[in-house]
Amino acid sequence: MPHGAIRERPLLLTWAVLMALSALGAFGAWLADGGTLRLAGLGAIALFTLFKARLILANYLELSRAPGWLAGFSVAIFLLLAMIFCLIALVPAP
Amino acid sequence: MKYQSQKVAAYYFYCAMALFAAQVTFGLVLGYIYVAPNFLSELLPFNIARMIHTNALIVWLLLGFFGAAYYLVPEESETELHSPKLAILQLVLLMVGASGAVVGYLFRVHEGREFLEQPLWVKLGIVAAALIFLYNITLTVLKGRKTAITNVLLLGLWGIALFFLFALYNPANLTLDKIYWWYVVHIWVEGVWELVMASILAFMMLKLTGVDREVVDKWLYSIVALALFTGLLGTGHHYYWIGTPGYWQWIGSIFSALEVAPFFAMVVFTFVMVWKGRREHPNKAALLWALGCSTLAFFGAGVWGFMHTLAPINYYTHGTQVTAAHGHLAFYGAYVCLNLAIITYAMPHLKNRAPYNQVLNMVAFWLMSGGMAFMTFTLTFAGVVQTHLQRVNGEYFMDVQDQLALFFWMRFGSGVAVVLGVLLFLYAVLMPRKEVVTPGVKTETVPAE
Amino acid sequence: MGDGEGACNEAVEISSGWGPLSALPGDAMMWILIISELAVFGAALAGYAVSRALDPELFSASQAHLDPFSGALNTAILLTSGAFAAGAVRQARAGAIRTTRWLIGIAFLFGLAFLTVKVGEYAGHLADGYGLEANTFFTLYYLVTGFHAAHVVFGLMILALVAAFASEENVTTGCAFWHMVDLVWVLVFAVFYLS
Repeated sequence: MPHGAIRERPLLLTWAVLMALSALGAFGAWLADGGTLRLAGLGAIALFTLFKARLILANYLELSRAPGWLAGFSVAIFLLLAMIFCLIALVPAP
Repeated sequence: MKYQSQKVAAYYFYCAMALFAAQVTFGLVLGYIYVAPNFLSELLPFNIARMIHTNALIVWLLLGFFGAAYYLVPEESETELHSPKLAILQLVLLMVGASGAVVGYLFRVHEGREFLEQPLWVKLGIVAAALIFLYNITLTVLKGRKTAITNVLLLGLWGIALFFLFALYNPANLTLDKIYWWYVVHIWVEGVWELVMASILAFMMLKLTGVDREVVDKWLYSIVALALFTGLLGTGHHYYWIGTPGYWQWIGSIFSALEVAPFFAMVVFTFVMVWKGRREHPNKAALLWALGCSTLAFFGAGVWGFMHTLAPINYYTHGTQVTAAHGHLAFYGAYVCLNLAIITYAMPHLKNRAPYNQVLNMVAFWLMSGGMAFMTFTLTFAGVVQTHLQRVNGEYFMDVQDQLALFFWMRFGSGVAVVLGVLLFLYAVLMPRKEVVTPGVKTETVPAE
Repeated sequence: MGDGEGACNEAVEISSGWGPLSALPGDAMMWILIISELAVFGAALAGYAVSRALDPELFSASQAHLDPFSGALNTAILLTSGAFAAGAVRQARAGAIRTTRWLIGIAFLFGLAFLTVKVGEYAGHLADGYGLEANTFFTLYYLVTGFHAAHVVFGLMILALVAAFASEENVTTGCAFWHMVDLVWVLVFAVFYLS
């Protein structure tokens, strides 16, 4: 594997985006806590979580070097989150 | 046969096959008792016949494993066995114990703990035999070449002996009793036996397909990792209803659901090796048994196990004929086929001749496997009907059994097919044609690397 | 299994034979573990979703006892720890062993901080009378987060080990486990605390 040939994303940037997404997730949770924007909030949480997972996979675990694996893991996590959040959306807490 | 001491494997295989014949004979009797419940009810009650059926199975499979170890370890380690005499002593101990146990059972002498009914002296004999075996085989490995196959095989065999020690511990508390009982029963078949299975299959793939050892090793390590990762905590799927806390339902369901992974990996492993292999090995029957082993183990242990492993499903199916269906195909696929594969592979070498009676052996495979598959289907249907009538509708056990008679008749029929297949196999392996002169086919003994 | 390990490392260096797994950074055996772990946590989270759908009232009421702030704090802690671990891998690749060790050390300290917060949370629930068998929600909560915390502990041991034997291969492999712990937490946090 030619290490030097691959452009490494700055870790600081990855970390900052991860922090921002976590904060946005908390905002989503606030929205999801009942009310008319519940579904939007849940969708936001799921989406931001998927982004975070992808960032960890691509830049922490360095799967950006193995795009096939990155895609495989991303699809699996997407399907898991879709299943979980669809169930949560369909059966609201009273 | 490259090493003289490998010869002891043949004696193990003969004894294993004798017990195999006894096991399926008692199986046939049991299948008949299911449809004619008074058959032999005074002379040989159902519980006694079942004891012999299950005990003989375990013992002959273990004899097969020991034989396989004595056959393949010298070849892998590239050295003679530490002591062939000790191997014979071990076999004598085991056979005395096994026949003593069977005779005892016939006179109603047993300890009553399911599958571990052996009297204490037999259990201690088994421990002594295991110690002799481990001493013998470990010293052989230590003095010779170390390979992934012998490492994993040793790990599995040591595990078998260590976990058997829990058979000697029988606490008064029924829940604790069951917890430790499963340390033997579950961790054997869904843990350490799988290591033995993977390493024997790896050895056979190496010999039969000629794929590089490096590749085989990696598959072997991956399968072992998966087997231990899923199998150990998968024990939890036996802890659902024995008085343990409810969280076992989650642990057991999740980990045991993944137990299908190592079996799936073994299917992919064997088929990919055969597909990639460059070697046209003359022993087609051994290859058929090996491929049948991984495939039927995947269905019997993996798929049929998964069917009723999740706690909410098991709540209804627990202890019905669904379990019997799973048990039969899992044991047959994973461990019977494995032993018959290594016996089919090794016997021509041990007799120092080219593979013989290939067609007959393959017919035996299809007859036995077809019979077992049909038995699995009938028992599965019986189990589903039973679950509904008994667990959902709440009908009485014996009333339900009456309604299952048709399935039990069909199971008896499939049992006849299995026994015929076994007889055919024994004939094919034990009775090579005398007039055939050994041709100089030695190519298959060239190591793969 | 001393011999087994030796054979395994030797095999990895040849890097043939692992098939598609050889494209992954670090030891392929670690990735088999990572995939297995993701499958286990994925199954547990899916089980959580189904159980919640069967009894939304209980889950909602129980969930109210969790402190989203602690969860968010731990997320930040673990992701920060992960950044240092990822930095350690890059330094190890560049051959800067000293820096590598320092970075692993910082990642380690953040891991300890995570455990401290988590233990604080557990103590709070237990003080309120919500133990492992309080109800289905708490059974799942303790099982999933407890199993995760066990992996944090195990991950800390691995980090210590690869800091001591800081070859590029070891650091990459050890940190891959640590990132898996990160990844799982992100999912656990979203499901248990946020939604």
